Amino acid sequence: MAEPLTFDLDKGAASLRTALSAAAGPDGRVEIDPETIEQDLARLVLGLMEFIRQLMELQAIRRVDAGTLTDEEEERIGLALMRSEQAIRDVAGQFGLDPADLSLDLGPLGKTI
Amino acid sequence: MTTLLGWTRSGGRLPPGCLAKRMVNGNLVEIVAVSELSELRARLALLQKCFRISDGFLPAPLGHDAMCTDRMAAAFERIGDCGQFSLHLHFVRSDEGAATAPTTGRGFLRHRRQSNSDARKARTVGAEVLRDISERLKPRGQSLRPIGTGFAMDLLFPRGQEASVRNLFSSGQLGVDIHLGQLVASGLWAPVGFAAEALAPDG
Repeated sequence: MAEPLTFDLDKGAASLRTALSAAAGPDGRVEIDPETIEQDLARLVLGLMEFIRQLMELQAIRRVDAGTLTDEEEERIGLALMRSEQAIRDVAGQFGLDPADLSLDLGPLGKTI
Repeated sequence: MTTLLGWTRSGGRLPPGCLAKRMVNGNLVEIVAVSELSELRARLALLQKCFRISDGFLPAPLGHDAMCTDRMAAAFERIGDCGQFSLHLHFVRSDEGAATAPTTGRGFLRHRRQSNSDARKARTVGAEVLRDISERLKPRGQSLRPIGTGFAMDLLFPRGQEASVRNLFSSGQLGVDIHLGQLVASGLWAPVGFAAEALAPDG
């Protein structure tokens, strides 16, 4: 049975906290425009999903480089990552968002994507 | 509510749409927009007009209403007679324009590994290219930062050097051969990036 993909939860949580802080205004609250609320929320949620997907992708590549995955595991994980990327893009497209729109600005740390 | 634009020397000219609100430190005056500006580009346009028309101008960082006048005066002394050029180096990804996308899971992972590797190499080379340009131009200040698809670098120059720097950019005398992407130079801008750094609360 394939070993599940893992990543450092503490680092992941810290990155998520930073991403959420970056999405907030100066008073710490998330700024939502009533006119575009669906798109704003979709951008935030899909941006976080894509960010986590990319973390998983990097971890998968590290495991491939380390030789700890069988061919079958590589195929299955790669396929899951590829299809999840396409699914996120498809949903983003339904909200009028391009892949570049899913990038969350982390201030001095740069962007998530 | 008025929009703070920056500071200039008292007695200097101001463009339409701006007014001198008050003296803040010796011979400096605070410039505000006559009407509230709801769009950032309208604020930027006024900043540029102030910058072009005045002999010395320190732009106010966005969202900063109150300022420590000592720090502001020091920043004006250092930056007020300068402008900034901005360089953007955009990397061309190895998979841009690729005819076929990977269709298998293994192919996808290998393709991404190659893309990541290419991007790492481009970042290393790109940073060196921009540092090399900066060394040749000898700016008064520089700020290099990664952006989504490459690097951005702001270069601070005294206003008198504008023409010679622009000439270097346009004449190709920098001798930079960019195979890895596109290099775009823009300016001369009001020194917004350097002012924000100099006036940051913990700066």
